[in-house]
Amino acid sequence: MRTPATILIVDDNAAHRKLLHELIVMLGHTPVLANSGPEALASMQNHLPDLVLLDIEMPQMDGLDVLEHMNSEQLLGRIPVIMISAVDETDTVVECIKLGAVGYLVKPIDHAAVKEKVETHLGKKS
Amino acid sequence: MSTGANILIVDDNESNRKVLQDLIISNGHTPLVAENGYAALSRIRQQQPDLILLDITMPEMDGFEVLERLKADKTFSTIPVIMISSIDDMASIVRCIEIGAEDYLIKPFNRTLLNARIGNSLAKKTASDQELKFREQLEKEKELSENLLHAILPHKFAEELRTFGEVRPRRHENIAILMSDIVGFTPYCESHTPEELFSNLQKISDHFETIFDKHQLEKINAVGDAFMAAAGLEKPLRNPVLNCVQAGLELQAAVKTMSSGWQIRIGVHIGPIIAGVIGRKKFLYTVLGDTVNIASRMESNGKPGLVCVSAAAWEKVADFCNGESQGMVAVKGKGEMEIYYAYEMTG
Repeated sequence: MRTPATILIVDDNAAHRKLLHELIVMLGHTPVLANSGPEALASMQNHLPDLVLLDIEMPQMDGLDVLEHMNSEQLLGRIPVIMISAVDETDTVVECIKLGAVGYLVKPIDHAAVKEKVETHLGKKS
Repeated sequence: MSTGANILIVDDNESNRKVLQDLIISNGHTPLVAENGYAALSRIRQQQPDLILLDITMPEMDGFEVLERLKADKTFSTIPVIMISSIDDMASIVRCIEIGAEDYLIKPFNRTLLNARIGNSLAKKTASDQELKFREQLEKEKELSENLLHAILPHKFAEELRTFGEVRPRRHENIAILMSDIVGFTPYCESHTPEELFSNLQKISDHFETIFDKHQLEKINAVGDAFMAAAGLEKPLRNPVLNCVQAGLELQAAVKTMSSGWQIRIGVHIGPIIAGVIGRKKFLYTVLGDTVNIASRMESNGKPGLVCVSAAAWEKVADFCNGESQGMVAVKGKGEMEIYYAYEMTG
């Protein structure tokens, strides 16, 4: 059995955050929440999570910006990131994958997909 | 703007190929076509395209497999590939990007988007090719400067300098020092042109370098007509004095063949020395200590055609060469010292 991992959930939508929070707890991991890009970056510096679930579409600073920012910092650049996208965001998802995101989840969030992605990518990029 | 690129179209659908062909021609590029994965791979081996437009869904060998094979092959892995997808299928597209595709296009083709993506991919390819070329050039220059550093400094000193930015001076025991000097060099300089002088110095320096290499002597420096070399510094030698005396006698023989009519004196001594590097911008590798001074005195007491060695050095080579004691000689700063002339090697 894996030891619990710290997983940062970044989403501006409260309902999404709540859903992902519950899913992560169910999977036996420790969720940390952020409702915006800047908050996510600040939280990363504090918690240094094992994995980040990152929404693409957010006001001010979107998921792509957060990812770029993470890449510019050595420590944050090593944390695996799974993007959360809408169905019609192929372009942006492709951009994120090119920037090093390890995977993506399409909304609406599917329990099985989250479980599979989280377990596949935990510790993969360490 | 890059023009006239060769663009390979891989699509099993004839009308798609036709549309892409026309678009590529109207853009000033040359289209190449393949109707399936196998044909594409053999076409690529024949003629490397600058860009590949690759359909994902094809019978037998699909776009994924073609892409995987290309990315696995070093020769072709740098060719940019734009995937063609019939629907906005995020999973397939992301998978292709993960394998290494540069970009993707969705059918039916949007002319503007297609042009933009082709132009973009080609520009990136040109940039990365250039970067590769620069990197190769940089590597070459780095190698050149390293060779230069190694030419000035012994290997381990060069490594130390490169790694730590400085070289610690070190004491070494049992180092044989060879000193050489041209007899009557100052009057020679005055009566000959600088060109003649340099040409002859170059010739004598060639002899020194060849003979030093042959006998594993490390050239320490050459100041004007004076050459200094050390044996046993770079790596331990069984009998460093023997290496110096052999080299010294060969140098004497080599100098005799020179048209300049030069004669040289050579002195050899053995003992402890301190080796180090002086300077921060221009490096001078040098050895210091009494052993060096005595070797220099041996040289000034020497005679053309032979090698003058100290008693301590003679002890190490007496069994290998003919020579004899010249008795006690006044050595500046040292008092009386016995010196030997080595004439030739025996056996």
